[in-house]
Amino acid sequence: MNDMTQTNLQKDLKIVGTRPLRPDGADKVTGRALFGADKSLPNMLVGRVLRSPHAHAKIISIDTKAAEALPGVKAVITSKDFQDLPSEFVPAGEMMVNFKDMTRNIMAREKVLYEGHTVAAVAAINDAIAEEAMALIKVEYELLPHVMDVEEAEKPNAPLLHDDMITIGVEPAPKKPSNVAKRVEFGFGDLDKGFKEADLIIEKKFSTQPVHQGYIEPHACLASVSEDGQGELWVTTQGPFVVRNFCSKILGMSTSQIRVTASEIGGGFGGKTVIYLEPLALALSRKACRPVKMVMSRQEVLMASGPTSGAKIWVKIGVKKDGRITAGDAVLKFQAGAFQGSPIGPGAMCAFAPYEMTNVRVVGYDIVVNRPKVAAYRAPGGPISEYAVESVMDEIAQKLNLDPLELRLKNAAKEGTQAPYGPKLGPIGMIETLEAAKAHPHYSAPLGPNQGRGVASGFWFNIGGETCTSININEDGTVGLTLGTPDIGGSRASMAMMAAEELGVPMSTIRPIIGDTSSLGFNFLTGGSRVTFSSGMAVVESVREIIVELRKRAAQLWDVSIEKVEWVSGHARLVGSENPKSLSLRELAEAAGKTGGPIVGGASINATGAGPSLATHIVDVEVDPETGRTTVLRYTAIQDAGKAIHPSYVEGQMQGGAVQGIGWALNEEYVYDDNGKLLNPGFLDYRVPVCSDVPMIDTVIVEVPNPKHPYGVRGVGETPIVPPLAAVSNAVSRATNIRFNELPLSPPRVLAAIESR
Amino acid sequence: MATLIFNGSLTQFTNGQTECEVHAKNIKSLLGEIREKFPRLSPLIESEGFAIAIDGEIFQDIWFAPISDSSEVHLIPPIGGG
Amino acid sequence: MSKKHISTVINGDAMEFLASPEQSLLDILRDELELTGSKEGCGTGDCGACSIMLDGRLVCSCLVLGVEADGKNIDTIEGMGNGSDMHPLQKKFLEHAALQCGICTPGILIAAKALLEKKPDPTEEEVRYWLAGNLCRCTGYDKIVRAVLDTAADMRAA
Repeated sequence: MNDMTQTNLQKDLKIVGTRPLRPDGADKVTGRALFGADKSLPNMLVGRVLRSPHAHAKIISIDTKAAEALPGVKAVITSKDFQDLPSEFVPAGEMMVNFKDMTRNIMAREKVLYEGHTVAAVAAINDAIAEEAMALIKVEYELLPHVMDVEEAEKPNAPLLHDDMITIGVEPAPKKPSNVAKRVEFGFGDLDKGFKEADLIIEKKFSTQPVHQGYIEPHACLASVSEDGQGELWVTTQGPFVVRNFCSKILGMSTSQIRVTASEIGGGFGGKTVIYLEPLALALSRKACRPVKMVMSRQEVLMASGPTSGAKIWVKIGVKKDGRITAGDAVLKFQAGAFQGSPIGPGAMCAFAPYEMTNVRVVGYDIVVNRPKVAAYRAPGGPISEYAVESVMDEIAQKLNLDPLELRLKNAAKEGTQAPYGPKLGPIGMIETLEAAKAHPHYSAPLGPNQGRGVASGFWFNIGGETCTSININEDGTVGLTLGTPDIGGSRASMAMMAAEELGVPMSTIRPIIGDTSSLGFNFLTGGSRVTFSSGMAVVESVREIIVELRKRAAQLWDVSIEKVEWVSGHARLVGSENPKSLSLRELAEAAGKTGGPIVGGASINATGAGPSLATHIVDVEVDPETGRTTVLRYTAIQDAGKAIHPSYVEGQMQGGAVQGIGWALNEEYVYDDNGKLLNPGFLDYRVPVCSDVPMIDTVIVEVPNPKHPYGVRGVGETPIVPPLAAVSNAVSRATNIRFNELPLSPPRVLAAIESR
Repeated sequence: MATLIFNGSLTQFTNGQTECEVHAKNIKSLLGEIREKFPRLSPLIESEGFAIAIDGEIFQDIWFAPISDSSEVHLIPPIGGG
Repeated sequence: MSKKHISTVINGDAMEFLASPEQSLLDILRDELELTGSKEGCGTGDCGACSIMLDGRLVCSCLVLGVEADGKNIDTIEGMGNGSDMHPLQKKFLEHAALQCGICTPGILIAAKALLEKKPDPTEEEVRYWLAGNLCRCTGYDKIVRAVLDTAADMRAA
């Protein structure tokens, strides 16, 4: 909780809102920056993972004797090396984690639940020996029937993944186990009445495929546990503190025994908020008493680390002739992967959130299937549910002959609107992004043959959470700033900017670093678009605290009370005297020893007041009627940032999210064979957008300040991936005059639809 | 007294009640009051974790956010992110 | 099989190493020579994060064997600057915020430099097709393409 109103919104800002070079930039363009796989230690071993070749099977036995006996092999681990943990939901940051599932996802126990599921791990003196050792591990499986699709998995006779899974959220609780982990429902009003009032009702089913975050850096870590049980972990992660807590629970170590240092992180997008290799590397290192490095191959990343859910969605919307929505109803069925925990809650909450609804219901189901457990992916759940709703909205606009932006404006949520999940919304920028889209030259540019223009809007919550920073005034008056949230896309720059702005000093005097888990109190992870918001708040609070200390020191030197000292442009100034005295930060720093010791400060907050960020995207496509291939011709992303601290990196988030969304809409998809084996575990045929696939992504930053942040920040990272799915699909539908309701819109699917038209 | 509002599937656990008056002055005492008035919500709160929206502002895992007499309070699932 | 002795020139310096027949040049660079600026994103030549120059040719070092480098000239990201200053592309990438996480950046810089040496005046389309073998998941490529075009313009003017 914090009391930080937007004290700086009216101020004349010198640094915030400009585009300085990032502090970590030189390291990243010269190859110096050290990522997860870039660090080595003396006497280091290589760790490798033996994975299940089956989608669903009972593990009858695992014989590791021959592997252990192989010269050069220093440790072999299986589930026997991990304590079992009871089914217990534990708050881990803001996520609820069931450690019974987590320990089984890390290392299969009774069963393997997807191809690629870990069954054993080996540490050896080199890769070749580790490989040989894995071939010597004998695993006896009893194959079980598998299920990959949510609608198959929810059938009463479907193969059961977990024989103790009773659906949560249903009253009375079902007697029998099923693959349905959870049911959620949101909404209010009277649906029957709403649909009766409607002049037009459109009802449609949609499907989306699971897609991978596709970070270019595979999971990697380097663990070293010494004979006395002290562990060090170097890892590419969005949340070193969360990794520490997860690992300590799984390995039965205390948190102080594990010191986690986050490496530079080569992309995450939500996928590096969970653990895979980390407890294995620590366990192997603990067994071998030597450092162990583990790096996933791209194949392992795609087979075994979390994508986001594939889904089946049903949407029904009723409108009056003038376009006013009278009712909205939706059912979402999300793949959870092998263990419960799809983003069904936020997906359901977001579905109709851009709109003012009077009668609304969204029902969601979290359903387990024999696929890797899903992980967060940028606005988890939002793109899926909003894709379906935004597609129906576009069809409504066409049927009523309304402009799709006007239709949205007519229904747009605004401050005071009751969100479909209950509470009333604060100030949000839905209307502002729609107006900006309408006014943008892109929206009125002419289209050629086989071309279509699609628009869609998107909503994402953004979060706050536990955050801790520290700040030191160095002996020469420069500043050290320690942050606990890994910098995934330029946050060291925005933090240094806010600190410099507050302190009234040049940004170059501030050196921001990401601290390890021993250097700061707990920080929730980098995710939920929370860093610029929450860490920014903590930075501002730290600086304000240190300014009080600096004023105190100056007051002491001048022998006046602290009230007589103000802080202006990096200087302490004596208030109300005829000859105003002034002390610079440097002078105060140099006198620190004499005035009471080092000048340090810090802040520890649980940030609240994150404001939702709304976006509207416009896209033009051309569909080749001969091949079904879609070319994206022009793209404009418009988003409410609240306040852009460093506009270049805000634009970067908008552009990157848009292109990930284009990939989701047009190409990305997992292809499994009948046995549940992944056929495309590589970038060659799991095709993320390449440079020649996309045009420039124009951006318009709208700023509707968040009143709860000192600079009005909302958080921008996740919203940009929400609109593209529907925007692209709507554009393709308009270009071909065929309504599409399945993603991806890959050439074969589009061509088949064109040919059967 | 503040108004606590239940949305969607939560009403299964409140005998269909969609809102009620609460005395709580902060989230910690609100959670206690909810457990007392609606014991069937208790296990859900334990297993799922919940966030509380007070007049539209969402508080997750925070106990001592003040609730005023005119507040509108909602129980919602916690929100994560990617 | 025994290791083979390999002599190369890397970023202008003579360097020797022992390579197993199956070791990729990328593994040699990263694991044996501690030149970790070249990254492994896929190991199959699809992502371009390991791009280097081999005798003046742009290659994915994960698709080259260490033993193939014998007698050859290798240029990696570590040698891109001139020893006291960064290459104009490196500077422009920072100016344009053409990187977010930075994992693809070394490979993209190497590839972009190779392009500008071949074609000092590329069109946007040429830049996009040249860089089509270098995946970036953060930026959506917009600022990367702009940085390359802007560098080209500056270098032509210089």
